[in-house]
Amino acid sequence: MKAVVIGLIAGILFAFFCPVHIPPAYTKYVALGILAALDSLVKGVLEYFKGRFKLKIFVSGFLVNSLLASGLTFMGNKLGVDISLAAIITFGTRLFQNFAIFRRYLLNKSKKRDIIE
Amino acid sequence: MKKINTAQISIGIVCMITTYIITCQFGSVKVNNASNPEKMRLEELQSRLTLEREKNEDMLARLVEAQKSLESYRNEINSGGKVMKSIVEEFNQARVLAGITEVKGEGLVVTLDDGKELNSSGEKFAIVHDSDIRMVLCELSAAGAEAISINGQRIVATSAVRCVGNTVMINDVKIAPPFEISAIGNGETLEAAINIKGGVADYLKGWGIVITTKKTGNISIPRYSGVVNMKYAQPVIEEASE
Repeated sequence: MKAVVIGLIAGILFAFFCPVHIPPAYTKYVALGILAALDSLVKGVLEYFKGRFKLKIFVSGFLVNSLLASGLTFMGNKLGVDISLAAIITFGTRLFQNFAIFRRYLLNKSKKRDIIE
Repeated sequence: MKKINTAQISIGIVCMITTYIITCQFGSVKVNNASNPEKMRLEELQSRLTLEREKNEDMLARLVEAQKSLESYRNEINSGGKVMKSIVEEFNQARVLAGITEVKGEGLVVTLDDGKELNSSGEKFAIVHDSDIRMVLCELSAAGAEAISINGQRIVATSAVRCVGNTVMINDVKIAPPFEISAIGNGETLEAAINIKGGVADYLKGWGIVITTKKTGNISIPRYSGVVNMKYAQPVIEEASE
């Protein structure tokens, strides 16, 4: 998956050359956004490998999930309820699930004869 | 093939954005953590220190100015007539009475301390309470004490002696036993007033409190360290009758 590697390196380099300082007050929102983005990303890569990749779903999922996670955290802060927990649990769980599926997929791909359930 | 290409590109772009944000976040969190708890506290304290220093300098300048004007007033008074002098005398007396000057003279030192005996649960049996101190205080005043201090806290018109928690507060300063009550006045009269049969000393000893009196020829009593700030009391100025 060249695109992922190139994207990773480009992102890190980009951050090194023009870093944006995130104020302490916003790090929590950004963290939640990152969690959602990672989830979408892994899901997208997985779909891609499965050949079921849909651009619109991928991009919209990436944008909407990130914004929703940050927005919910913001709203939770205003309401005094830690709604960010919901986002953490949801996206965290999905991240693990997607990675698990991805792992199985890769393992099964290399050993086609005995399928690991 | 083209569809796959767009997918790759979009995944690549999303990947780039995500890593960009993650890297930025890493850097920010690192910086924020470094600047957060102790460092920021230190900086805050430093800025406060500077502020206090500036205030101090300002105060010092004002003090110098006030002293200068005081000096000029004094010169004026010394060159002035009889009326001025009587006013100054009255003023000095008022100062002593108000407790804003250090005074010294003969007097009595009464020391109150908790009893040494312990009760069954290991606590001190007899503890000096604010009421005990007040009792001695009133007795000394009644016997003609002109200035009184407790552990260096001058008793003035607005002073209060009271228990707060398990300590005694006088002039909003916490005081711990032994309580050394110094009073300026006729030593013999004061001592007699305290040690009179059936008086304060007998009463407190009955409770197990250790009370000792000591006459001294020279006690110095410090000035009142607080600020006299009258908010409600307005002096009534009497019309001078001619």
